[in-house]
Amino acid sequence: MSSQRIKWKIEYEKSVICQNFDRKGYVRTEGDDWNIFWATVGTVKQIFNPDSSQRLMDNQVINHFPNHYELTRKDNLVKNIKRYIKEQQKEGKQVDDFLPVTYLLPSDYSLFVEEFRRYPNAMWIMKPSNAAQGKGIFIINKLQQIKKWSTGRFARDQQTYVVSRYIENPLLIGGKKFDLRIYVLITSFRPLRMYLGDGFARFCNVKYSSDVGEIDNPFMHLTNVSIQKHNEDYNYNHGGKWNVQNLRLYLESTRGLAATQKLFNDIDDLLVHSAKAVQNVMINDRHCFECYGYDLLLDDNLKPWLVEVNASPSLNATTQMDKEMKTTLIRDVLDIVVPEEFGSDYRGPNTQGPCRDQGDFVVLYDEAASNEKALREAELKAGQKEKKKAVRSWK
Amino acid sequence: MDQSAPHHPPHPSNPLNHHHTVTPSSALLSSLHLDPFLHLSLLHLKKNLIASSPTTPHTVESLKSAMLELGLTPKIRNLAYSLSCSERDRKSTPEILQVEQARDDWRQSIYDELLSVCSERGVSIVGPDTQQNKKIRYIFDSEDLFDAIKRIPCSSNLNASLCHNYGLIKLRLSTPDHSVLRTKFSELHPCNRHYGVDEIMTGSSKFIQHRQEVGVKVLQESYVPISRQYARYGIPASLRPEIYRVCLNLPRTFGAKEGEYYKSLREKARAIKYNVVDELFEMDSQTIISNSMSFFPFVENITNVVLAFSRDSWVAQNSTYAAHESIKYEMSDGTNVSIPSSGVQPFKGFVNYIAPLSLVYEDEERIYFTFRGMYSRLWCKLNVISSDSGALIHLCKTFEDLLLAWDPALFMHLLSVNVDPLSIAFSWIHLAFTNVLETEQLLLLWDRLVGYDDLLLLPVLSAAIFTFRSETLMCTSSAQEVKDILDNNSGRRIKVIPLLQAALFRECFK
Repeated sequence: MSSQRIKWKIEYEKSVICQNFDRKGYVRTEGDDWNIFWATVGTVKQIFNPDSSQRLMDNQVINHFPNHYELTRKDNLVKNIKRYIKEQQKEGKQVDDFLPVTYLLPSDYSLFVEEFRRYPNAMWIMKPSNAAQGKGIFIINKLQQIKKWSTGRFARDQQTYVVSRYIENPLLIGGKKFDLRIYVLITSFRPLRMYLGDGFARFCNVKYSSDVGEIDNPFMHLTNVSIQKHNEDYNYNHGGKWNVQNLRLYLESTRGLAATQKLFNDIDDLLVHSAKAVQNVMINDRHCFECYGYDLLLDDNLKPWLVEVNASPSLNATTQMDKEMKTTLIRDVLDIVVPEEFGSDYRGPNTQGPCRDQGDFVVLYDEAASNEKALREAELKAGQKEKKKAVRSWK
Repeated sequence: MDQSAPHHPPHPSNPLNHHHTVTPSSALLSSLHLDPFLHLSLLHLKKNLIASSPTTPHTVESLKSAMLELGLTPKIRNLAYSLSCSERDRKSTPEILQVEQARDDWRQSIYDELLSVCSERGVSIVGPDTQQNKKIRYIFDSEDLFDAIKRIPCSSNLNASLCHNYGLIKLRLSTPDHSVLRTKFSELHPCNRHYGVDEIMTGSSKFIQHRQEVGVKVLQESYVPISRQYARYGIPASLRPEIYRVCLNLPRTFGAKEGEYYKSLREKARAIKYNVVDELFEMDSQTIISNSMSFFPFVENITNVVLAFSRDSWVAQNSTYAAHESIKYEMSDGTNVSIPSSGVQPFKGFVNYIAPLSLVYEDEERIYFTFRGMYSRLWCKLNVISSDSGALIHLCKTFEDLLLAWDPALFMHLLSVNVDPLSIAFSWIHLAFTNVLETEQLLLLWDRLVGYDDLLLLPVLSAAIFTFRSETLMCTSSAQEVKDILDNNSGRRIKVIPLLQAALFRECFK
């Protein structure tokens, strides 16, 4: 099928996406005859609503999984990961926890209080389950600050919160706190097909201090660009964003090669575990793909922690470098999700053979290929137990 | 040993295979005698020996083992090596009159500009600053230095055969030609494996591991020439902090003494402010580092380092060249101060020399001492007006001569569209490519500068970039087009080592 006839649809004008479609020579459409639709999560929900009569054709792909919120809502993420780690433990596989200790409010309130009293000097971070861009987040160190959850009146309120142990020893660079935004493309959950994309560090403008007096200073603690943008030191040239290559170079120089390699391996493991945790609850519709924005925090011991997963990572470009990076990102995503042969007999990504690196994306985890390989190896070396990890690398 | 490397005995990237002997001249020995560190060490040694065996006579063997135990052996070895090197480097020919004149003029103009800015601000160079008007401007930049050098006329009584009229450097200096460079930089030959080329090829893990192992052994030796030899093949990021330390002969551990010293410099910077001078250093840091995509997280560290540097009289006493002059000022209490104590005046882009080190060292102190070491050995040569071989003017002329020899058609074409190649390459050389290359590539280049203890690769790389872009440049019809092609931003994609290899050893690529 010639690329001229591939039709695309988009809900909100995003130049990074439109430019990529145009460059590929795809044709834009406003109707339902699209082959690829860059939609909002709301629209995807409607399309996949059991009451909806819409059925997607074979040659249609869309950019969200219907129940992505299993991964992208903070409360669901916590539930799924806790469950997954327990399951793994029962099978004798140790998975180091990568989510800070988290409780859901109001349901876990009493459990939280117990934990809180055990570590009276700890700080906790409160986040609305379903908000984005740092909205509604605050840090507490006294139970009094969340009094309203104890009275029970709150139960009627729709908004639930998650409260997590705040990581007070984040890795600091130049004295400032930062987090990592990493893009991960998933084209199938059963079996898992995951691709690791580019990433960058987002810095706070203000030097970090775990001083209790500063817990109300969002510029010191919250790395979201949407918040840092309002600081008078915000720089429009780089937007507080740092290339992962610089981070890697800095860490190799200051922490050594082994520690840095371990960190990036741990990050890969974290990403794969998080996907495995929701593997069995996700509606694995073969029309769906999703490019997630993972937010990670590194602590002073070079341990990565998962903060959250975003289903609709911002595609607004805040700087020139940002624009280039996001343009390349979408280009690679499209190269992966739109197959060569995109006709009416396209049966989904699992029919396309093993995952392949594409552009800046490297294959993070190809479950089918990995299992096959393990099987072959077990057959070849009967008795030998080395279960090889799937090929993954962070460039 | 890497089995897959081409046969090249002895294995060139293993610096332990090289022999580094120092034949002591009488001048060297007398320098050693006078060195205070050595004096102290020998006293210490003596005390130790007497304490351990007060009655038995001491043999050479017992002396050697005592020295080893006290950790003196590597220090003395490095000291002897450094002294012998500086003996070699010492200037043997007198300065050309025109150049001396230009240097004096340059220093005078810096002085005048500084005072002019002070009066614009309405402040004296030291003293309370009660002015509301914070208006400030740079006193000079790369362009100004370039102009000062361009103006130096040619001396008429030198050998006419060394002259060509096409370059901007009129001085008739003898520069190394292609064959000399190939010999000098023979380690860069593509038959050798290098960081900057081989660590990203397939099958690189063996190479990476091998380099790591050799690097660790090199560090155990802790001997300057061996570390330098190692650096010439590129240093893995994890070993770079220590290899640079040895190459620059900095102390093994940064203990209390160094910490105190650095702290005292920072205190000096806090206690007495130099109006304008301090502000210029701060402004340089704020504008360049805060806006830098690679270094913005380190703006405070870099500002601290540059201010501390300005208070360090060690720099004035130990740099190979005194690039600028301090302003002598008599304080109200009669004491005389040199502003700045380092003898290095602020100019636009100075912090570029410091910035890359923020990705190598976490401690500000280490950034400081490494930067100071690099400035006193290398960067001062890029800022002095001198006709010495290896200093800025000579490097510029080398660039022009190389480009003319490698690609005369390109050189002529550029002249025909009113572009002097040096006008573009000057800032690359002056700022050691900090304004062009992306960080990892820059550090790989600096590895070689430190390894060869020489800046010649700066003009070589500059000429290589021109010849690399030759085809596109030949199609230009205006100066602006040339500038667009050679824009500093395009440097982000440059891979330094392959480019240098292609330029120096081009017959390998035919």
